[in-house]
Amino acid sequence: MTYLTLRRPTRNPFRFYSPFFAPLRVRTDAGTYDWAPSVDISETDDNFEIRAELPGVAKDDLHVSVKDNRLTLSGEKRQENVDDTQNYRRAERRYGNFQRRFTLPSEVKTDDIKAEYTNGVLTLSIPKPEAAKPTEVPISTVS
Amino acid sequence: MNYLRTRRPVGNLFNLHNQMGKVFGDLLGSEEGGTDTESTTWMPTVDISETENGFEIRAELPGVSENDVNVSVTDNLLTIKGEKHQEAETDGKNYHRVERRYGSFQRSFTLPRHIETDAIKAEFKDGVLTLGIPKAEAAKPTEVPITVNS
Repeated sequence: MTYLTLRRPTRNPFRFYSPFFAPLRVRTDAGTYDWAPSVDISETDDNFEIRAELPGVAKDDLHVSVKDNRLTLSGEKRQENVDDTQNYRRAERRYGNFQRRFTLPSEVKTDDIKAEYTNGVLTLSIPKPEAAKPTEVPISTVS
Repeated sequence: MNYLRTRRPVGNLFNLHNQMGKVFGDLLGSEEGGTDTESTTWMPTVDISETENGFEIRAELPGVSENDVNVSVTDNLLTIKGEKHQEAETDGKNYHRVERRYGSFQRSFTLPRHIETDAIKAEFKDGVLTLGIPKAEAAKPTEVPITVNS
């Protein structure tokens, strides 16, 4: 029989100290885009959840793709109705292409990722693989 | 004619001050939350445009539900305010990254004269609040016909 090895924290030594070393990582690679949406990333027993703020982006202009465990959220935010008779007094909002990339844990089943868009917020639910879920070990008492 | 102006640059200063306070709070020992500002934690970003017929304010309020936004006009001061709640309870969730801002927000604008405040329209779609503010007839540009005496 092989040993029951203790999962060494060395596999991910900073996991409990810094969010930047979380299993779901935000990639910082540069690209040609105008802005990047702000995101919240959370984890439950069953899912990872990414919530991105994309106010004013039409659903059809929004793309989520996964390749080699890299999840890319990209698209374009267009100005609502551009017409020549409009004078802009103030333009604080950002338009154009956006992109944000994340590295998923390798065991994630990418087919099961769900995306939902409401009120300008895109929610991605990324189910964890069975192996990554915590399991309860029943304790039996011998009397 | 006067423009539609955003209010409270002084408030902004206080906000900045508060934010600095939050960053350096421990260092300087300053107290959280100035008394001069209301307890708003963030301001939505806006675009303001003008056409011949009126003004349009578009404010970004992603993740805010329609019922949590309030638009009011008093004495030519238009105020958008409300509260942004975190979507789901945070129980049983570990947050790895929180970049979004939550809590109450507020932003005010001074409307020019000659506005039909009763006719202001508000529409909320995909996290963007659009306010259509019609100008009164008096404020619209009128063509003055030129007669030529020959």
